[in-house]
Amino acid sequence: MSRLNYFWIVLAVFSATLITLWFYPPSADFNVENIRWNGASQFSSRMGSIAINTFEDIPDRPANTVLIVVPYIEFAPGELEQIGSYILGGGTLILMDDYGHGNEVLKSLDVDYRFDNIPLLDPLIHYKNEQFPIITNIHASPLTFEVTTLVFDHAVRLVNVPDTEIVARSSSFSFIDLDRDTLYDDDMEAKSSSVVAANTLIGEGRIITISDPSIIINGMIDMEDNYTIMANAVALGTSNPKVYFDQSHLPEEELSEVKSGLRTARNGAAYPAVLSVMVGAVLLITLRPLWARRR
Amino acid sequence: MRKATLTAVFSILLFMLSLALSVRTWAQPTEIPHEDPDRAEDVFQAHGLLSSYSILLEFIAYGRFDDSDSMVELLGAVDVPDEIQSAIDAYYSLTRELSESLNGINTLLKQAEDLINNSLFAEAEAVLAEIKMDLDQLDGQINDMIAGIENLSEQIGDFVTNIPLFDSARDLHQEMFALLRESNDFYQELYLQLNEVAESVGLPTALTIILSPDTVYVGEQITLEGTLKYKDGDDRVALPGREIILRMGQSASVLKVLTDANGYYTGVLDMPYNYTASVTAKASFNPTTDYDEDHYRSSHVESEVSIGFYHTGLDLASAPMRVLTGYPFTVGGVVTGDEVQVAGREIQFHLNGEQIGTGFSETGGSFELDVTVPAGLPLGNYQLIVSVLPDNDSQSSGASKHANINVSEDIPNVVLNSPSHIFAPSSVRFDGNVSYNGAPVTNAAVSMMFAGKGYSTETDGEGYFEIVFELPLSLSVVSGNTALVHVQPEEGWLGLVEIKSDFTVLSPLSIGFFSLAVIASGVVAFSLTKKRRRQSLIRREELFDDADFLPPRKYAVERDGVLAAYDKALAVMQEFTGVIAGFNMTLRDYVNELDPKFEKMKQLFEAITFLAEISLYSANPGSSDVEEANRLLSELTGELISESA
Repeated sequence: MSRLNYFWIVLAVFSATLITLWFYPPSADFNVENIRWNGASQFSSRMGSIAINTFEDIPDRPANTVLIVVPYIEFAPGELEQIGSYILGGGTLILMDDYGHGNEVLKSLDVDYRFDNIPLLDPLIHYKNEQFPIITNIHASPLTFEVTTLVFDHAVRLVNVPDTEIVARSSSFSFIDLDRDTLYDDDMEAKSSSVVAANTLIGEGRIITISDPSIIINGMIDMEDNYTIMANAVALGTSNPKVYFDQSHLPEEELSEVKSGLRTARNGAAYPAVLSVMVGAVLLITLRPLWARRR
Repeated sequence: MRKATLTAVFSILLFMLSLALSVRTWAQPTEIPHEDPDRAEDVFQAHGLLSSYSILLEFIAYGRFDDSDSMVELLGAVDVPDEIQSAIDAYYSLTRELSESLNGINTLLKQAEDLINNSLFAEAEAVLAEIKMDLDQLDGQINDMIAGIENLSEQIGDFVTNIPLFDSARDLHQEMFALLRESNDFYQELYLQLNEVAESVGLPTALTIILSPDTVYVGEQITLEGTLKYKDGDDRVALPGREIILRMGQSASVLKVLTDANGYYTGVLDMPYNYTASVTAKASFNPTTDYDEDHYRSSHVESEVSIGFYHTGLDLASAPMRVLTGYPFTVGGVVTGDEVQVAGREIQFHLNGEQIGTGFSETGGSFELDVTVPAGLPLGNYQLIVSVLPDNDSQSSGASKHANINVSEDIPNVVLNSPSHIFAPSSVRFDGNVSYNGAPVTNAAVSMMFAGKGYSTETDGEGYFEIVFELPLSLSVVSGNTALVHVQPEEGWLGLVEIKSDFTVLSPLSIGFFSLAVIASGVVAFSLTKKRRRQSLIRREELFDDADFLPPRKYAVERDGVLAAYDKALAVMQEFTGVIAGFNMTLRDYVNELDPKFEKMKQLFEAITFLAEISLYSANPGSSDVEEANRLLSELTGELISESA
């Protein structure tokens, strides 16, 4: 076999690899293209949300828009100010967190309550086991219209929420697992109802805080009224909102980084100079036998 | 062939390694704590449930009935395995009944105490009788609970995952039952004390009441009369000069009258403007002097009075099902009723608990009033309540009706003019018009996103807007594109409109590159075609029939089948390899001259050479050698063609 044939085989395999990597669905948590149980493809598709990878993509006029943030990665300098401007300008922020950096957002907005970052377990009112607390203590408001039950997945609680801003609470059988052993220890852990969702008006906008982002993953979104409360949150104040889902503060997997690299390479190939070189190389390869024959 | 196989295997391994490094899909995410709900373990904590019930019993025993009611409601929602559902349900029912009983006893005891403190001993006696009945059943209920927990413990034994905790919860239950018995004793003691007090004070008195008329219209007067006597054995003795308190319903105003020498009293009260079917007239006697307190018990009597009024009706003729936030709408209807004052009646409108409008009915009772939904009211479904207020002057009741309405936004009409194709570089213009119900929408914010850039403007007084921008020479926007235009009116009842506009961007560069690609494709196709044609010329017949390819020397012996095949094979090898057989070469010498890189062909030709040697030098060449030689020749020819390809 000639060397050229070896070259074509390697090139074919390389191209197949790139194509496979390009089209292979990602598996990162909350990724809007991830169709597995931990992705957010169903939620994003039904909401018609736009995935953004930088806060620069947030519209300048935030009125009638909703921004969903699941901050598992620390915020870069300036991003918290961008969020503040967005809300003050009339935007609705849905902040969903449990063990991430949600408290940075709350602190920057001068909101008094915080995420507790300690597991909230319910040994009785739950789905399958205590890590899936069922929330039935729902306060009536437009945000909870037709919402009677929520199912959480490894949640935490909110502390110091003013009474007027409480949206939902866990059952009185739930407790905070201080020693993280999943067992109720009556010496140091008290059973009580905890706040798990809040609705706070700030300036022209609002922030809706939920202490479990997992209610929007594919495996959880259709449980009880999980989707309904998100749909209500998005529709508060406008009937045709634009929803932006921030993907830049989620942990990246290697596949996503590869895809990002491929995207960058594709965008780079669109530049006239690069494209000229590529076309010239193709012409050189294809016309070389012709020139060789003439010689 | 071996090299090609190695190359293919290596490439596949490289492909799989790339995927494995890039696609880590099956491991659970380690950074984000959540589980796949479909795969989560189904766990039922028997000790947890038992422990919660013991806490409930503690609430009941200590009289914390608000807490116990909340907990009963929650425990009713606990999801338990089907195998023990009936046992749990039975125990749940017992617990709930016990809670209700003790709560009821507690409430009645407080009521009895209040009555006794207010010297209402007759009423207190009635309440105490009811308490006695409930207390008699309480002991049995506690015994049922004890049996119930034993039964439950047996049933849920299979679901105990932590035996020490389960045993601890059971022990706690026993403690709670002991506490409940103590509570029972406490309530019994309290009952006896109250009963003793009620029975020890004074002679019972009897108070009667007669009303006239039986039916009274609101605002009119009614006369209450009767007698006050005390019971002395079988006799009834009048109590003169005693104060009788007369009250109508829950009215704060009372009338105090005195009994005469025969114990008779009378008084006139005004009927309140309560538009209900009836009201309770009450008369009561409470000892006020020290002597009376020591000698007589209090008493009271009630009687129902039918209330007369004119019934107002309300019909809603027109109420929209959908209204716009911040925008007025009209509600029409008519006030009705026999002998009812229908004109000039005040009408109120409430939405979401807030009054949003008011007005008055016109002659004949009809009304058409404008109401405005408060701006800022969240969009959604509400109940609009339309009420006619009562008119006391005409003794007419009020009325109300409700209508379900949907508060939403409307969408303005947007006409967008955009180009279907654009040649870069050039100036691009998008313009359009925004209107609503035929009227221009002014000062609406218009924004557009294209190629990662945003542009914005506002509609003018005619509802017209225009966006102009420069499109540079850039390959990144060549091909089909979409521009997103958003229009957001400043009026609260008009919603956001999004329009997508598709168009094609072309440029001289893109046309040039496309042309080059077509030319390159043509050149490649031409080269391939020519190469195939050249190879198709190398046919067996041309190889074997062309005299130029015949070896220069002739053999002394006749060309038999083997040597003929050898001739042809030699011609093929000389043509293909370029190695020419010299006059002084033996057959074997020629084989050794061949390049080893034509391995397969060399092997085949060597086999044919061997047969030729046998044919030349052997005394008895094999009869099948000719067939073998021709077969080898065919294979050699086939190998030649594949090498050429």
